[in-house]
Amino acid sequence: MTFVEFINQKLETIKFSNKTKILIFIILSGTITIGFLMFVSIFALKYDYETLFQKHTQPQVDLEEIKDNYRVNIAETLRDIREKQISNNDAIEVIYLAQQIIHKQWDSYQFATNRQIGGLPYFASKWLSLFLVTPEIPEKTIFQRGIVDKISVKMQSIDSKINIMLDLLKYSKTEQAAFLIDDITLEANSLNIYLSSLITTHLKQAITEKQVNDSLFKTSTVMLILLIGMIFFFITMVLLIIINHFKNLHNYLEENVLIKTKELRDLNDSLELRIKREVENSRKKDNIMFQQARLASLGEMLQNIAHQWRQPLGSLMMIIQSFESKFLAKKLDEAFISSRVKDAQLLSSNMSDTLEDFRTFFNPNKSKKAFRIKEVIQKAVDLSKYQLEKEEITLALLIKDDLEVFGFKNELIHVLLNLIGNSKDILASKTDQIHKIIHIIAKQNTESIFINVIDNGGGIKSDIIPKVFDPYFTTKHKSVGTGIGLYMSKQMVEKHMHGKITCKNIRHKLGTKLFWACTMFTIEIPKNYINTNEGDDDEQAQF
Amino acid sequence: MNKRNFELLGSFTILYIEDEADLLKHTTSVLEDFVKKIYPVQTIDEALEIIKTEKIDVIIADIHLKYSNGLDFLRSVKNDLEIELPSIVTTAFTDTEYLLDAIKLHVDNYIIKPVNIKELLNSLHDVLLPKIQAKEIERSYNIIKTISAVTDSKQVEIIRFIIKNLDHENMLNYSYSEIMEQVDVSKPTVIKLFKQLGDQGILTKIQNKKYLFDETKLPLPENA
Repeated sequence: MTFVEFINQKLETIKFSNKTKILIFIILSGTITIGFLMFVSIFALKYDYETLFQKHTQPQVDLEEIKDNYRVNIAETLRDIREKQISNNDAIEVIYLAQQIIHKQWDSYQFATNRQIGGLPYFASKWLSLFLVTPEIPEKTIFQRGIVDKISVKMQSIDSKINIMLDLLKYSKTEQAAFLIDDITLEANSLNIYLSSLITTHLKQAITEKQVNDSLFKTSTVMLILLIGMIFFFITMVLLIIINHFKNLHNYLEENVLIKTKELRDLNDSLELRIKREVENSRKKDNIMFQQARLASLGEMLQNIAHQWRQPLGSLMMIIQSFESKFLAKKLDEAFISSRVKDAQLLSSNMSDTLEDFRTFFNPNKSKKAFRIKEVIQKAVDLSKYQLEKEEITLALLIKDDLEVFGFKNELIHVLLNLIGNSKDILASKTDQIHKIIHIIAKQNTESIFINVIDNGGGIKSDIIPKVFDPYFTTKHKSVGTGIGLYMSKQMVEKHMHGKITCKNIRHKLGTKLFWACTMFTIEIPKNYINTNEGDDDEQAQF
Repeated sequence: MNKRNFELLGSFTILYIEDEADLLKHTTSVLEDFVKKIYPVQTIDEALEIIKTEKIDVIIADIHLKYSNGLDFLRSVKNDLEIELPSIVTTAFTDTEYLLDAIKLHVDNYIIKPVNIKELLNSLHDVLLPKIQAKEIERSYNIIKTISAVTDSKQVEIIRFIIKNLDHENMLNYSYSEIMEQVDVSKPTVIKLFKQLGDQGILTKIQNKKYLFDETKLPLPENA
């Protein structure tokens, strides 16, 4: 098997396509060789047949006819002449004719025996005989050639004798002719014997050649069988090797696939772990993000508190100072004191209320409650009032029916604050726009409650619209926007209110005479869910 | 001027614009003890109405008003109505933007909320002081004119000449004859007056044609 191994080793280095090419080449060349050999054999057989026919059968016929002519035409006629059964003229004519036929046949014999058989069969035979181990047979034996020479000489002497005899006959010298006739008859007989032996040699040669032919046939058959066997063997060998190689290849591939599959499985397992971890991370990140957003809005709210406190604080300070100044002016009477104390109490209780509002907003009790939409919107507006005033933005509420809903009040406030805050930011950037308007519209149909927040800040670029609710997406400067507000709003609306929040650009008058390019955010809260208590209270803790 | 005399404010009328009702009420109740009259208003429209009909001495305006701006009001008073009035603005903001606007409008003072009433009164006093002084000068001038009506008018004219021609060191560099030429009085009148003033130490002769005017020696007016 070392050879096979060696071949295998060699084959390993050959490409698969080249291997098939080798196989195809072997099959093709084998087939071509077999075909070629078959053609050669057929042509060689044909050559042998031709030789047999032309050199041995045809001459035999010719020789036989010559023999007949001598025996029948010439010998009979001569006998008739001697017995005077035929006229001289007729005899002469018959003998002429016989002589002519004999010459013609002899020429035909000479031609047939001497003519070479050319063409493809000859070459095929010559080429094939290179492989044959049969004894070379002389084409024409010396014996045969000798007989032919003798026949030729004899025929010439007979011809001359006949001519003399015919001349004698012409001149009616019958006795002389009769003497010659005997001689001619004798000679013709001996010629006939020669001819017979020539025929025999031809027959013998034909028999010998048949043997040659047999051996030729045998040899070519054996050669063909050998060749076919060899080619078959080679093809089988190569096929076996290739199949073996395929097997190896298949095993190798299978092994590879197994290894890769294992790797993939491992990767998959680790991926699952990683995904789990990433999801956890992103949840953590989300939480941090929400915390950030909460802190950001806390900061904004603090600004609001500061402002909402500043006014009553100013008044309170004035009241305190007024006591001093009234005292110095000697006008500090009971009526003044009581009225100022009352005012101060009112102011401080307002301040306390403001603080309480913010406190409850940032520490929401996590249970669902029935609340009025109008109240919620009003609260959101109040909480952002300071900033709206600062940017000189007019905010109008258009609430047709005061709708009562059930859910997380503070969440809705948060969402509305976000939307108002966004509108405020864009309007604040439009410094040369005189009318800065925000409209908040609440309405309902049989299925849902809709809250629209519309501002005339020019709308959102259409390529950005699909992205506005994505986390960390912001068009504002990094220091201003975290890109979380709308994402968080969407989460709240979808998860806790089972509603939808959408945004589109519209053209709206907003109560003025002009049409403005506006952005409209719509919060849609389905009524069906309002009264069902879905168990998502725990999730609420995240926000 | 550390101790201001707030009684001086008692003759002035104030226009006070503040949109917060509480603060307006309480500040007004404090201020009305010090001034002649205070017009407390919450909007610019009301303020414009009052400024057209009443005589106002000073405006106190809050910058941040509902849907409008105190500085805008001051600008329209100055540019549209062409009335030059001293003004004080109050604001919760310390924005430089407002500050620049205020400086351009020649606002006299800028008070940050919450308002300290003493600070407000002080700045009111400071703002109104030129008016008070102008009034004082007018009154003194009237006193002099009245005196000259009842006494020798020539003597008054000589005193006026002396005070008018004092150099930076309170020196008078004139001879009797030069004074006589310029004021057109008789020599005995000049000598008599110089003697009177020299006796009281008001005008002392340093050398010829050089007299020192000592204002500390002037008798104090009873009502000052």
